[in-house]
Amino acid sequence: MTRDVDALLSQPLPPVADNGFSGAVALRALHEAERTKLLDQLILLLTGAVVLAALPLAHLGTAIETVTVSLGNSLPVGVAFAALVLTTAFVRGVVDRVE
Amino acid sequence: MDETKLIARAAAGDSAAFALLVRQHQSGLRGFLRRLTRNDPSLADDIAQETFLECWRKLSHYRGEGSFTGWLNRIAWSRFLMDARKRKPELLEDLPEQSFETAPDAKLDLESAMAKLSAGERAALTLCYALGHSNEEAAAILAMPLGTVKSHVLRGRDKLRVLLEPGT
Repeated sequence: MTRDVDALLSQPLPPVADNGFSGAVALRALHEAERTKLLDQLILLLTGAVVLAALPLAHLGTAIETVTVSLGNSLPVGVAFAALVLTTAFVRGVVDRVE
Repeated sequence: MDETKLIARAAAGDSAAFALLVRQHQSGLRGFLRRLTRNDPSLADDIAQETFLECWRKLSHYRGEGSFTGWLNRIAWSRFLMDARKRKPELLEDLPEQSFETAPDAKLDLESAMAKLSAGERAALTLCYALGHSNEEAAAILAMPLGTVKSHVLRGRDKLRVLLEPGT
Protein backbone atom coordinates (compact mmCIF):
# COMPACT_ATOMS: atom_id res chain seq x y z
CA MET A 1 0.00 0.00 0.00
CA THR A 2 2.90 2.35 0.80
CA ARG A 3 4.13 1.87 -2.75
CA ASP A 4 0.64 2.63 -4.09
CA VAL A 5 0.43 5.82 -2.03
CA ASP A 6 3.90 6.86 -3.20
CA ALA A 7 2.92 6.23 -6.83
CA LEU A 8 -0.31 8.19 -6.41
CA LEU A 9 1.48 11.07 -4.76
CA SER A 10 4.18 11.14 -7.43
CA GLN A 11 1.66 11.68 -10.21
CA PRO A 12 1.93 15.21 -11.60
CA LEU A 13 -0.76 17.62 -10.44
CA PRO A 14 -3.80 17.67 -12.70
CA PRO A 15 -3.28 20.39 -15.33
CA VAL A 16 -5.31 23.55 -14.83
CA ALA A 17 -6.64 25.17 -18.01
CA ASP A 18 -5.59 28.79 -18.42
CA ASN A 19 -9.06 30.13 -19.39
CA GLY A 20 -7.86 33.72 -19.51
CA PHE A 21 -6.07 33.57 -16.16
CA SER A 22 -2.64 34.59 -17.56
CA GLY A 23 -4.12 37.46 -19.54
CA ALA A 24 -5.96 38.80 -16.49
CA VAL A 25 -2.83 38.62 -14.34
CA ALA A 26 -0.67 40.31 -17.00
CA LEU A 27 -3.27 43.07 -17.38
CA ARG A 28 -3.35 43.67 -13.62
CA ALA A 29 0.45 43.77 -13.55
CA LEU A 30 0.48 46.30 -16.40
CA HIS A 31 -2.09 48.51 -14.66
CA GLU A 32 -0.12 48.30 -11.44
CA ALA A 33 3.10 49.31 -13.22
CA GLU A 34 1.34 52.27 -14.86
CA ARG A 35 -0.16 53.34 -11.54
CA THR A 36 3.25 53.15 -9.85
CA LYS A 37 4.84 55.17 -12.66
CA LEU A 38 2.11 57.80 -12.41
CA LEU A 39 2.49 57.96 -8.63
CA ASP A 40 6.27 58.39 -8.98
CA GLN A 41 5.76 61.27 -11.43
CA LEU A 42 3.20 62.87 -9.13
CA ILE A 43 5.56 62.64 -6.16
CA LEU A 44 8.37 64.16 -8.25
CA LEU A 45 6.09 66.98 -9.39
CA LEU A 46 4.88 67.71 -5.85
CA THR A 47 8.43 67.65 -4.48
CA GLY A 48 9.51 70.06 -7.24
CA ALA A 49 6.59 72.37 -6.45
CA VAL A 50 7.38 72.36 -2.73
CA VAL A 51 11.07 73.07 -3.38
CA LEU A 52 10.21 75.90 -5.77
CA ALA A 53 7.77 77.37 -3.28
CA ALA A 54 10.35 77.19 -0.51
CA LEU A 55 13.14 78.81 -2.56
CA PRO A 56 13.62 82.58 -2.06
CA LEU A 57 13.41 83.23 -5.82
CA ALA A 58 13.31 87.06 -5.52
CA HIS A 59 16.49 87.07 -3.43
CA LEU A 60 18.12 84.57 -5.80
CA GLY A 61 17.45 86.82 -8.81
CA THR A 62 19.03 89.80 -7.09
CA ALA A 63 22.02 87.73 -5.97
CA ILE A 64 22.60 86.35 -9.48
CA GLU A 65 22.39 89.84 -10.96
CA THR A 66 24.90 91.21 -8.43
CA VAL A 67 27.36 88.38 -8.99
CA THR A 68 27.09 88.58 -12.80
CA VAL A 69 27.69 92.33 -12.87
CA SER A 70 30.62 92.12 -10.45
CA LEU A 71 32.16 89.27 -12.48
CA GLY A 72 31.78 91.30 -15.67
CA ASN A 73 33.53 94.27 -14.07
CA SER A 74 36.33 92.22 -12.51
CA LEU A 75 39.78 92.58 -14.15
CA PRO A 76 41.16 89.17 -12.92
CA VAL A 77 38.13 87.35 -14.32
CA GLY A 78 38.55 89.20 -17.65
CA VAL A 79 42.24 88.24 -17.80
CA ALA A 80 41.43 84.59 -16.92
CA PHE A 81 38.75 84.47 -19.60
CA ALA A 82 41.13 85.94 -22.20
CA ALA A 83 43.80 83.40 -21.20
CA LEU A 84 41.29 80.60 -21.59
CA VAL A 85 40.26 81.77 -25.06
CA LEU A 86 43.88 82.23 -26.18
CA THR A 87 44.92 78.80 -24.84
CA THR A 88 42.02 77.10 -26.62
CA ALA A 89 42.85 78.91 -29.89
CA PHE A 90 46.52 77.97 -29.54
CA VAL A 91 45.73 74.26 -28.86
CA ARG A 92 43.37 74.14 -31.82
CA GLY A 93 46.06 75.73 -34.05
CA VAL A 94 48.64 73.15 -32.96
CA VAL A 95 46.20 70.29 -33.56
CA ASP A 96 45.33 71.63 -37.03
CA ARG A 97 49.03 71.91 -37.95
CA VAL A 98 49.77 68.31 -36.80
CA GLU A 99 46.87 66.93 -38.84
CA MET B 1 12.64 31.60 -25.16
CA ASP B 2 15.07 30.59 -22.40
CA GLU B 3 13.50 31.11 -18.95
CA THR B 4 16.47 33.06 -17.55
CA LYS B 5 16.18 35.61 -20.38
CA LEU B 6 12.44 35.76 -19.91
CA ILE B 7 12.89 36.48 -16.19
CA ALA B 8 15.51 39.15 -16.91
CA ARG B 9 13.22 40.86 -19.43
CA ALA B 10 10.23 40.70 -17.09
CA ALA B 11 12.37 42.09 -14.24
CA ALA B 12 13.26 45.03 -16.49
CA GLY B 13 9.54 45.80 -16.80
CA ASP B 14 8.66 43.91 -20.00
CA SER B 15 5.04 42.97 -19.37
CA ALA B 16 4.86 40.69 -22.43
CA ALA B 17 7.73 38.60 -21.02
CA PHE B 18 5.95 38.51 -17.68
CA ALA B 19 2.74 37.35 -19.36
CA LEU B 20 4.70 34.47 -20.93
CA LEU B 21 6.15 33.53 -17.54
CA VAL B 22 2.67 33.50 -16.02
CA ARG B 23 1.39 31.30 -18.86
CA GLN B 24 4.24 28.83 -18.32
CA HIS B 25 3.78 28.57 -14.55
CA GLN B 26 0.06 29.11 -13.97
CA SER B 27 -0.99 25.48 -14.14
CA GLY B 28 1.58 24.23 -11.62
CA LEU B 29 1.04 27.09 -9.22
CA ARG B 30 -2.75 26.94 -9.36
CA GLY B 31 -2.63 23.16 -8.93
CA PHE B 32 -0.41 23.54 -5.86
CA LEU B 33 -2.75 26.17 -4.41
CA ARG B 34 -5.82 24.04 -5.08
CA ARG B 35 -4.23 21.36 -2.93
CA LEU B 36 -3.47 23.89 -0.22
CA THR B 37 -6.99 25.34 -0.25
CA ARG B 38 -8.63 21.89 -0.08
CA ASN B 39 -9.84 22.14 -3.68
CA ASP B 40 -11.33 25.62 -3.54
CA PRO B 41 -10.58 26.81 -7.12
CA SER B 42 -11.84 30.34 -6.58
CA LEU B 43 -9.74 30.95 -3.44
CA ALA B 44 -6.76 29.20 -5.07
CA ASP B 45 -6.99 31.47 -8.12
CA ASP B 46 -7.26 34.60 -5.95
CA ILE B 47 -4.07 33.62 -4.12
CA ALA B 48 -2.39 32.65 -7.41
CA GLN B 49 -3.15 36.13 -8.83
CA GLU B 50 -1.73 37.81 -5.73
CA THR B 51 1.31 35.52 -5.92
CA PHE B 52 2.04 36.46 -9.53
CA LEU B 53 1.57 40.17 -8.79
CA GLU B 54 3.97 39.95 -5.85
CA CYS B 55 6.36 38.08 -8.14
CA TRP B 56 6.06 40.95 -10.69
CA ARG B 57 6.88 43.50 -7.98
CA LYS B 58 9.80 41.52 -6.56
CA LEU B 59 11.22 40.07 -9.75
CA SER B 60 14.19 42.44 -9.70
CA HIS B 61 15.19 40.92 -6.33
CA TYR B 62 15.18 37.36 -7.71
CA ARG B 63 18.83 36.31 -7.81
CA GLY B 64 18.38 32.94 -9.49
CA GLU B 65 19.28 31.01 -6.34
CA GLY B 66 17.13 27.89 -6.55
CA SER B 67 14.52 27.30 -9.20
CA PHE B 68 12.05 29.96 -10.27
CA THR B 69 9.23 27.51 -9.53
CA GLY B 70 10.55 27.12 -5.97
CA TRP B 71 10.67 30.90 -5.56
CA LEU B 72 7.10 31.21 -6.85
CA ASN B 73 5.91 28.43 -4.56
CA ARG B 74 7.55 30.14 -1.58
CA ILE B 75 5.59 33.34 -2.31
CA ALA B 76 2.43 31.28 -2.84
CA TRP B 77 2.86 29.47 0.48
CA SER B 78 3.34 32.70 2.43
CA ARG B 79 0.36 34.29 0.63
CA PHE B 80 -1.72 31.21 1.40
CA LEU B 81 -0.80 31.41 5.10
CA MET B 82 -1.67 35.12 5.28
CA ASP B 83 -4.95 34.62 3.43
CA ALA B 84 -5.97 31.56 5.42
CA ARG B 85 -5.25 33.29 8.74
CA LYS B 86 -7.48 36.18 7.64
CA ARG B 87 -10.29 34.44 5.77
CA LYS B 88 -10.29 30.69 6.42
CA PRO B 89 -8.29 29.67 9.49
CA GLU B 90 -9.79 26.16 9.28
CA LEU B 91 -7.57 25.57 6.24
CA LEU B 92 -4.55 25.56 8.52
CA GLU B 93 -5.97 23.32 11.22
CA ASP B 94 -5.54 19.59 11.53
CA LEU B 95 -8.80 17.75 11.16
CA PRO B 96 -9.94 15.82 14.22
CA GLU B 97 -8.58 12.30 14.57
CA GLN B 98 -11.94 10.63 13.78
CA SER B 99 -11.79 12.08 10.26
CA PHE B 100 -9.22 9.45 9.43
CA GLU B 101 -11.55 6.59 10.35
CA THR B 102 -13.37 6.68 7.04
CA ALA B 103 -16.87 5.44 6.46
CA PRO B 104 -16.96 1.75 5.48
CA ASP B 105 -18.36 2.44 2.02
CA ALA B 106 -15.96 5.17 1.13
CA LYS B 107 -12.77 4.65 -0.78
CA LEU B 108 -11.46 8.16 -1.12
CA ASP B 109 -9.64 9.46 -4.16
CA LEU B 110 -6.32 11.16 -3.62
CA GLU B 111 -7.65 14.73 -3.75
CA SER B 112 -10.41 14.09 -1.23
CA ALA B 113 -7.97 12.25 1.03
CA MET B 114 -5.44 15.08 0.70
CA ALA B 115 -8.12 17.53 1.82
CA LYS B 116 -8.22 15.77 5.18
CA LEU B 117 -4.55 16.48 5.94
CA SER B 118 -3.16 19.57 7.63
CA ALA B 119 -1.88 22.44 5.48
CA GLY B 120 1.74 21.60 6.29
CA GLU B 121 1.26 17.97 5.33
CA ARG B 122 -0.54 18.86 2.09
CA ALA B 123 2.17 21.33 1.15
CA ALA B 124 5.10 19.07 2.06
CA LEU B 125 3.66 16.03 0.26
CA THR B 126 2.77 18.01 -2.87
CA LEU B 127 6.16 19.71 -3.06
CA CYS B 128 8.18 16.56 -2.42
CA TYR B 129 6.17 14.15 -4.59
CA ALA B 130 4.06 15.83 -7.28
CA LEU B 131 6.37 18.80 -7.84
CA GLY B 132 9.57 16.82 -7.41
CA HIS B 133 11.35 19.07 -4.89
CA SER B 134 13.85 17.60 -2.45
CA ASN B 135 13.10 17.73 1.29
CA GLU B 136 15.68 20.52 1.63
CA GLU B 137 14.06 22.56 -1.15
CA ALA B 138 10.63 22.01 0.39
CA ALA B 139 12.01 23.18 3.76
CA ALA B 140 13.30 26.37 2.10
CA ILE B 141 10.01 26.96 0.28
CA LEU B 142 7.91 26.41 3.39
CA ALA B 143 10.39 28.22 5.67
CA MET B 144 10.34 25.23 8.02
CA PRO B 145 13.14 23.20 9.60
CA LEU B 146 14.08 20.12 7.57
CA GLY B 147 12.96 17.82 10.39
CA THR B 148 9.49 19.36 10.39
CA VAL B 149 9.14 18.83 6.65
CA LYS B 150 10.24 15.19 6.98
CA SER B 151 7.76 14.58 9.76
CA HIS B 152 4.96 16.25 7.74
CA VAL B 153 5.80 13.92 4.83
CA LEU B 154 5.86 10.79 7.00
CA ARG B 155 2.72 11.65 8.96
CA GLY B 156 0.87 12.72 5.83
CA ARG B 157 1.75 9.50 4.03
CA ASP B 158 0.59 7.42 7.00
CA LYS B 159 -2.72 9.24 7.11
CA LEU B 160 -3.19 8.86 3.34
CA ARG B 161 -2.45 5.14 3.58
CA VAL B 162 -5.29 4.77 6.07
CA LEU B 163 -7.65 6.96 4.05
CA LEU B 164 -6.94 5.21 0.75
CA GLU B 165 -6.98 1.69 2.18
CA PRO B 166 -9.30 -0.40 -0.02
CA GLY B 167 -12.39 -1.57 1.83
CA THR B 168 -12.12 1.03 4.58
